[in-house]
Amino acid sequence: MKANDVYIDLDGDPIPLGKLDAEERRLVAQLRRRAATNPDWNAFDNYWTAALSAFYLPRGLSRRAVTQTIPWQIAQDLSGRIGIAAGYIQPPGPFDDLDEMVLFKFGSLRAFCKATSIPEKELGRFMAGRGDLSLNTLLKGLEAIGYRLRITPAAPAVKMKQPRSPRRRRTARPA
Amino acid sequence: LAAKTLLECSFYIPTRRDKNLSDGKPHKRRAWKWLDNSLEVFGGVTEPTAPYRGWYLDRETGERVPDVSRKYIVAVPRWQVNDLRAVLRDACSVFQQKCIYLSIAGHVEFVEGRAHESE
Repeated sequence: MKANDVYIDLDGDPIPLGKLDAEERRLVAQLRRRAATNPDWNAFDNYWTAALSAFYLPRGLSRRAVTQTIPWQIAQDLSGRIGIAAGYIQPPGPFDDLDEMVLFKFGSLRAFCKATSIPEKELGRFMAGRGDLSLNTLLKGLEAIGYRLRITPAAPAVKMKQPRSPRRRRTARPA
Repeated sequence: LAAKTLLECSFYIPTRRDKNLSDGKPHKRRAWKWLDNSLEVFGGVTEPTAPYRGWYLDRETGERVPDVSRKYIVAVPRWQVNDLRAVLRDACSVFQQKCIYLSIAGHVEFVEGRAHESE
């Protein structure tokens, strides 16, 4: 596979570009150029979400389908890099895949724990960085849903800095 | 034909998890990805570029909690306001917040997560 036929995301996973048409490739190139200018994180998110809708809706894709496209995934990854560099997002961690699976495949920790028989309280504390989880419990739980752990080389670390001093919001909200 | 009336809704998502519910650390990428995907159905969102700093009194601890938030502005028809509330209810769990500030055409409400509804 040629280097320009693939986009490597923050986790080190390849996103193939081979099936994109010429216009989509130009769109991805635009997104990458814009991200390379080190834009404000919010400004970049405003830009890419509008740009992708404007590109795909006239092609007849539903709004939901737009979020499944490869340029959308790449834009989210670029946004993640900008957010991490600005100090607003946690850099990739060892349990991001587990975290993503819980949210995107099962919808909630409760549903995931029900499917895997991993105690919800234990996993919740572990995911929040407040407790440990036995490797055996995790392996057995993953096996129950047809998954396994895999050890892979780490993607290059992304530096995180403190966010700039933000605008004051005076409105109080109860907890 | 009468123009479709849209309501301006805005809400704030703190950039860190609630330190009482969770660990107070910045969110992971998947949380923001989830929000991007969930908001796409509303057909357009604006984020002011500056983050917003504020504070609130934690009802459970009585403590003053400072936070920094991202603001989102979305124009929705009246029939879709409940869909936005549902997204924000889920957002409480995804972003580990007890509630989320939502302003609907100037009327403010605090959308609580499902875990806090019965309390």
